[in-house]
Amino acid sequence: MSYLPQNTSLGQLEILEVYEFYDRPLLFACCNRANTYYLVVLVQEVDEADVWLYVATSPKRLQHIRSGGIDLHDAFAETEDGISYIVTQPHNEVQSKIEVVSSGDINPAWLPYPQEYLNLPTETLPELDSVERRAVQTQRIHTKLHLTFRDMMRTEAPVEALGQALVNFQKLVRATGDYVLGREGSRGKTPEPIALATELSLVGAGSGSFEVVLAEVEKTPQPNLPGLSILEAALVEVTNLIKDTGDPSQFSERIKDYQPRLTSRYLDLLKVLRRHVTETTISWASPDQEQHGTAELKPLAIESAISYLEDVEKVDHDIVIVTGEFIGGNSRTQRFEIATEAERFVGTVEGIDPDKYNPTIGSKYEARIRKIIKQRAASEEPTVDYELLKLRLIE
Amino acid sequence: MTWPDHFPENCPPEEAIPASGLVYRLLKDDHIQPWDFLSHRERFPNKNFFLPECQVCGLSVYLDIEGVRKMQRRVSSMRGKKLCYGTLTPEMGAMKPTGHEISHRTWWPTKECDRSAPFSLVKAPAEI
Repeated sequence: MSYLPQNTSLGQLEILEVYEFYDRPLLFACCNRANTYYLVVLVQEVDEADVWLYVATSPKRLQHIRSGGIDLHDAFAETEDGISYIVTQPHNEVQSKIEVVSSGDINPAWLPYPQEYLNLPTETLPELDSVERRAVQTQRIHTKLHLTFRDMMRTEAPVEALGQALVNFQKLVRATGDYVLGREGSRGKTPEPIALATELSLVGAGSGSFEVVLAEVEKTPQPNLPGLSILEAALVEVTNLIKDTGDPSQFSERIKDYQPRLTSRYLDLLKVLRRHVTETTISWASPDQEQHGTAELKPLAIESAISYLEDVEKVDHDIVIVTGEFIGGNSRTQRFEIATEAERFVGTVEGIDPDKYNPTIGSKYEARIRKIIKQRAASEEPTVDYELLKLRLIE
Repeated sequence: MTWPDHFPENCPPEEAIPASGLVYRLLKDDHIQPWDFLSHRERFPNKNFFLPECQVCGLSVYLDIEGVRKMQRRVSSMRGKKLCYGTLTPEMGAMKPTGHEISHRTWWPTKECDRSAPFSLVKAPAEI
């Protein structure tokens, strides 16, 4: 005597997963040895037998049912091949009875109510090969981004969020390539050779929440990076940066020499991840199997790094002595504006007794001015403020 | 505390905790009877359930009515059944969350306990 029908046209069945259980399975998925999948629900209990509704379902459809893409009502009512099986399973030893019916003829009272979803996290893409294996197979550096997007039950990713994550990751790698080469300055377009050497191409997507695999587009040897290509060096740095993100002191130490463009790119990536993703892991490998790395970003680390990058700023001071025309400001506002032939200085008055600060508009003065240059870690352009320290009338 | 003779070894499982708290269970008819508190193994001693034996020796209970209602929305054969409620105590056995539904528990009653004793009929209809 068996819970599942035996010796029937449904084949030799085994239960794959139970979705509703009350003393015994009531709603479940099973399959036979020929890998035909069925979704099954108990529709009637009578003293002598249980009556079950079986519907055949493809694996893809079962994934969607399981992950909440299709409600249970439609799973039974709108079958893929229009056929359902009513299986009467006696409690005694008598053989099960199977009736093949059109799915449209099923008693509606037997069906799950509409809008009932299973909503179980489900891998709907195949698992990817490791980056190490792919790198060796293709002789290209491979990088895998593992992203757990918020509120996704299937191995899917919202296009905009995924696009932003990939674009910002590419920009980060490119900026890091620039940095590891020790190129002076952060302004202007990244030189073409560096951009090419750090360019990544999407070569696959797979399960594990959502994974994308990126591979180098072009191999570019770089003489002044011993044993490493630009991309390898960039990925080493990116991996270390991500690892250090979890430790505030290590993070600040690492980025203190970064060009503003690099920190700006990292900040952009972090903001995208904070908005859309709950977990991020980056792993990469080189074909030679010597170079590889992996690093994980947790939400708290992302939050802390963003706060740091948006707050910290470097400040430099410089004293300049200029001669020019006083064109604005007064003792009431404690502000000044002096124009020389080449420049205009606008700012606040510091270190001058307010009662003695009585400049005349249009007169020429020699001014001692403190120039304050502030550079935020994640900003490409510094800000400059001026403070008037001393003013001497010339004419 | 002793367990019914038909329980397999290591049943209830180690991670099960002493039974406690208010629980709900469905009834066959409109009144509580001992049959309602028989496990499927006790009802069908020779049936192959294709499940771990310990699981079918237990009784399903829910911690809240919404869990019952959700199951009834999905499984038509469970609709229309009456519901009873009762408060379990540690002397009555052990329980453990099982299945995907967060309010579902499997209760393994002890050999000695009068299973239906603490239960009363829920007067409001259980149907959804």
